[in-house]
Amino acid sequence: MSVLDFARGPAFHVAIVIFVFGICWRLVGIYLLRWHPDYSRPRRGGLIGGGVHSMVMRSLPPHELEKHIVFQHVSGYGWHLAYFAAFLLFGPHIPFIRQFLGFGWPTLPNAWILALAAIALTLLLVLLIRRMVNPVLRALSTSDDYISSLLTMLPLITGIAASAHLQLLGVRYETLLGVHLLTVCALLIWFPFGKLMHLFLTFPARFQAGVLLQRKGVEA
Amino acid sequence: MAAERQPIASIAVAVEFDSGNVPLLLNELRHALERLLEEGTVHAIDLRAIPLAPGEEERLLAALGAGELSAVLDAQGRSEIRETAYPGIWCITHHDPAGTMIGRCIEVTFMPALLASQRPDVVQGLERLRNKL
Amino acid sequence: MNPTQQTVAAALASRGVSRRGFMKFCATTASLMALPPSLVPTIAAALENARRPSVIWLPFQECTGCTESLTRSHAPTLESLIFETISLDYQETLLAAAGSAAEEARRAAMKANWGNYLLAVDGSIPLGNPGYSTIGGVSNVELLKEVAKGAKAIVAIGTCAAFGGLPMAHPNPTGAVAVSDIITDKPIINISGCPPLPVAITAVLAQFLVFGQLPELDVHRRPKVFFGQTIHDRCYRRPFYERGQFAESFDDEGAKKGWCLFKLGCKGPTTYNACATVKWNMGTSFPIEAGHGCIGCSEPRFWDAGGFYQPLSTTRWGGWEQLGVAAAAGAAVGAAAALAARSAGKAAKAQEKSS
Repeated sequence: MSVLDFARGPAFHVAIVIFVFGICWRLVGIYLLRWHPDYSRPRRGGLIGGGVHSMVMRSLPPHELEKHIVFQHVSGYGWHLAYFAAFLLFGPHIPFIRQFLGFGWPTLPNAWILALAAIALTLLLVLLIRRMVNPVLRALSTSDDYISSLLTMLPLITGIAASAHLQLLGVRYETLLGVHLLTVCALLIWFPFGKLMHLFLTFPARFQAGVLLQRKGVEA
Repeated sequence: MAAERQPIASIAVAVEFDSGNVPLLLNELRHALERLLEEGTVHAIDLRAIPLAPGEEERLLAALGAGELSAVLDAQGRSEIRETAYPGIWCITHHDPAGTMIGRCIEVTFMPALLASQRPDVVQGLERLRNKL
Repeated sequence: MNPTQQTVAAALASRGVSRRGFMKFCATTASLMALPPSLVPTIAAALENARRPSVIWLPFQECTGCTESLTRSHAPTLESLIFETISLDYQETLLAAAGSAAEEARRAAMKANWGNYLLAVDGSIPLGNPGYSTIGGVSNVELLKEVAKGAKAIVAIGTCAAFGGLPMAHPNPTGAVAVSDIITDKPIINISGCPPLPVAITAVLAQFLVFGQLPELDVHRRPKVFFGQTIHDRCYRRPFYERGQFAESFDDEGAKKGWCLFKLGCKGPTTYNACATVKWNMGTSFPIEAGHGCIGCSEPRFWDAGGFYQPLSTTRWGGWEQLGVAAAAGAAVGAAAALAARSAGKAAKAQEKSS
């Protein structure tokens, strides 16, 4: 069985099963955790509005701190948007997505995708180096951070290499394509067990915080 | 009521577009012509070896045009040796006995080798002439 | 006179081919082998002295498509001219003799050219039960081993001989294998394709004629001249791929405009062959130009690659039922974990109250 056949077949099969299993485990596990009963009366109504408000406001930095975190802020949004655009707006990816969603959408020319992917990879590398060099970040970082960073970058690197037919180290195109899929499998397998879960947890967490704050009558 | 017969819509099959090969090839021929004059080196381009988009080969040959001399070779099918509008640039097309084109070459030379009489053929011809007399 | 004693040039001359005709033959052979025109004098000199090689062609578990591909024309072509300059001493479809006379011809050719003949094979070899495919009562595997012993090199023609092909497709009922799975001590060249481009077959024979050796091969032992580039890299529809213009179904606007067929399952990116440049039916067209995606017929296991209409970026992921089970199992584990956390929390709180 070639690398590509293995990646498209058994490897991906196992990876997606683990991914779904893991996501359901984590999400159900979190949402079934005990809530402390709140015996006080709510100060305000419009809890859902409050939740949405917090979700939006917490995605933007507070004005007072902006000038200290503008680099982190811009590069963070930058690489996330470029990464997702490179994944979702690349023509050959659409049949992959259509397998699960049942529909596709218009895409961008390949040259744009290559540019977006290059931007995403550059920003990711810069942020990784910053994490390793900055003493505060280094002290805060765990193995989860580094593993998640690496597994996020690998599909990008292998995707660019395959797409540009770079023939890394004399590796043939179809093998590079298989390796690209295997890095996606690795990302899917790791996903539920590390900080990448923030994809599913960030906005619900902000919403929940907003609901609680609205209940308490806090202007935030 | 009988259903109206709809004509089959025309389906555009071939797509004519430019890969930009024609100017590149013409420049290659220009350089080859310069070398022919300066050093006497010959050059040949096998058109079958270049993936030309549909219509590009025609555009290249149209750009080269036709010169004053053309010769027809009848050996295992017809072959055409034609000087283009640029002396020194020849277009040689080979066909098999069925008329299928089996090769096309652009040669940059003072005289393509195929035009000259070949020694073994001359030897054989002399033999035949001697037998006749 | 043993036909293999004659030089190629003499063989052509005896067919009434003039020197000019011979030069034309050399020029078109160079083009065939994708050699630069500057090598034509070298080819001419080589053919002056090259002896006609003996070729024995054995058909095994095949559909005869490879022979058909090669001999499709009714009029003499360059392919047939090359074919005639070799001494084809045994080929079941083309041989006039039949039965024991044919087998005798084969044995005589083998004996006369021992160690120097080229063995051409098409079709896979069944190992499950040798009786699945026999010639004159002799199983394919036995015949292959016998004839391979005295061969200088083996040319596996077609994907069946090169990689196992259709007979080897799941579930491989006959236990079909490729030539290279059985013969390991002779140089083997694979000319894959279902069928292979006729020019690829004759070019290898021409290379053997001219240089007396086999051309440069890739990792799958295929001549790099024809199998060094993917269809995708030579496809005239590539600009549409790069611009993101794909046909979504076989009769939509994109298909009519000749857009890229990636989403309709084209395997061009992972298929190495020369169809996009050399094309079929003497340069008429090739599958993509006709509107159908490449099926990857020159690659190993192409029949089991997931489906001709499944795009390369799709995967075999097991289906929704399996994911449903995985989700349910995950939810169950999550619920159990949450319950354990809750009861642990309750116990801790109770302990806090009592202390």
